[in-house]
Amino acid sequence: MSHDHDHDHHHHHHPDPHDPAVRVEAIESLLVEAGLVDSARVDALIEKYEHDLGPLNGAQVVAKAWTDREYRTRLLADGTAAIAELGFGGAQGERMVVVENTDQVHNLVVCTLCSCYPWPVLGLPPSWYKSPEYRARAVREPNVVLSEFGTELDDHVEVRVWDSSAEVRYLVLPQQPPGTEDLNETDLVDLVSRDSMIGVRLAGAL
Amino acid sequence: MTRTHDLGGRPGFGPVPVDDDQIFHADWERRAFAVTQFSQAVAGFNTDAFRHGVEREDPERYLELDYFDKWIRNAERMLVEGGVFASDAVSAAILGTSALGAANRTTDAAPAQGRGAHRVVSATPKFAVGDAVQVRSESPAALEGGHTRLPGYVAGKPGTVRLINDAWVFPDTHAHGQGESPAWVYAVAFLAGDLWPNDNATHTVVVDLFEPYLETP
Repeated sequence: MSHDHDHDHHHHHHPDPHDPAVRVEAIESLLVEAGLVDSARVDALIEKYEHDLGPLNGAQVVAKAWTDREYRTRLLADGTAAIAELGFGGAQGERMVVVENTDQVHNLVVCTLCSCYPWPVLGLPPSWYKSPEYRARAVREPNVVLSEFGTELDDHVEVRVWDSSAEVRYLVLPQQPPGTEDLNETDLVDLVSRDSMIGVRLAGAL
Repeated sequence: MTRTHDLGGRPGFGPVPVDDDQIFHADWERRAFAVTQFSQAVAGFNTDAFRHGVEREDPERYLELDYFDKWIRNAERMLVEGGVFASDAVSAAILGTSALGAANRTTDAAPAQGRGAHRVVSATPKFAVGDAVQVRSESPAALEGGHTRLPGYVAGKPGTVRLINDAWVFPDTHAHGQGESPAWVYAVAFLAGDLWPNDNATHTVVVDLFEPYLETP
């Protein structure tokens, strides 16, 4: 940006129009100037999805399912309704299906076509979930992908990969870590990571 | 038809960037996330048309562009195609030149306030849980270069219905202003051995597929 032509002293050099940060700002400014968008509402939307929604919601669902057998039954029968009991639902969660990990089956969730993810219970997806590597390989070589997360399963476990190709959103109910049977629901929440509800790690791991 | 975004099973990709686990890397990504959703609402694009917009990204650049760069490029695409912005409005604003008559409109658009995509239909599901099905080689509604949610890696493959997942707006028509045409969706299970016979893999892949994509084998 070293130009020596005679810009006014107060005039900024023009930013790079291909820089996405510059384009975002320009689009927002145009929308605000046109009276179509209020920046305070943009701020509020960011706040909602970065802070109000997140994997803590899903962790509460899982911890309740671990400690309340009747809730677990309802959750597996109708995920959307059981999740709504805890007050969670909305965009990208019109219908949520909960799939249960067992000694025989390990579930893993991906979106090969874009980045579909259960926002009401997990918030927005981490970058790796949206990466071409994960999207291409999770359906084809899930055991290798799992090993990249440090997750090794017994040979006899069936891996079941769910490709969120329509509007249903999937949440994995991870297995409760052995030796945690005496913990209460609140303490169990801490063992439920985001990654365990996507299925790339086990609960209680890292 | 270029379907760069249809990545399932495609070979040649390296390790998953497992340590890249942030939602946003920079503040502009935060704003891109929200501004794009407002842009979608202002431009009057439904979810399917939004996705088709991202899928029309330059195929040479789809894989290299940052995720939220693709979003903000789609925001501009939607605003121009929706008649809200002139085609050069954003560049003109950045460069301090004047745009060619931006077509403003007034609206009180808000993201994700629609009625969603779930629908109740009178037709009964054609298939039952446990039924063997065959995926068509392509969507019967497919337009050249159009939107579909039939992943290429299951096209033409045999599977088994595992769940009936209600009826939903059909993306293949809805993305193109051709109506909702709601259809039943099935979670169909495929054996990896049927999808990739040379891989010697034993896992199962379950894919949500709209009834028009399926036929009786």
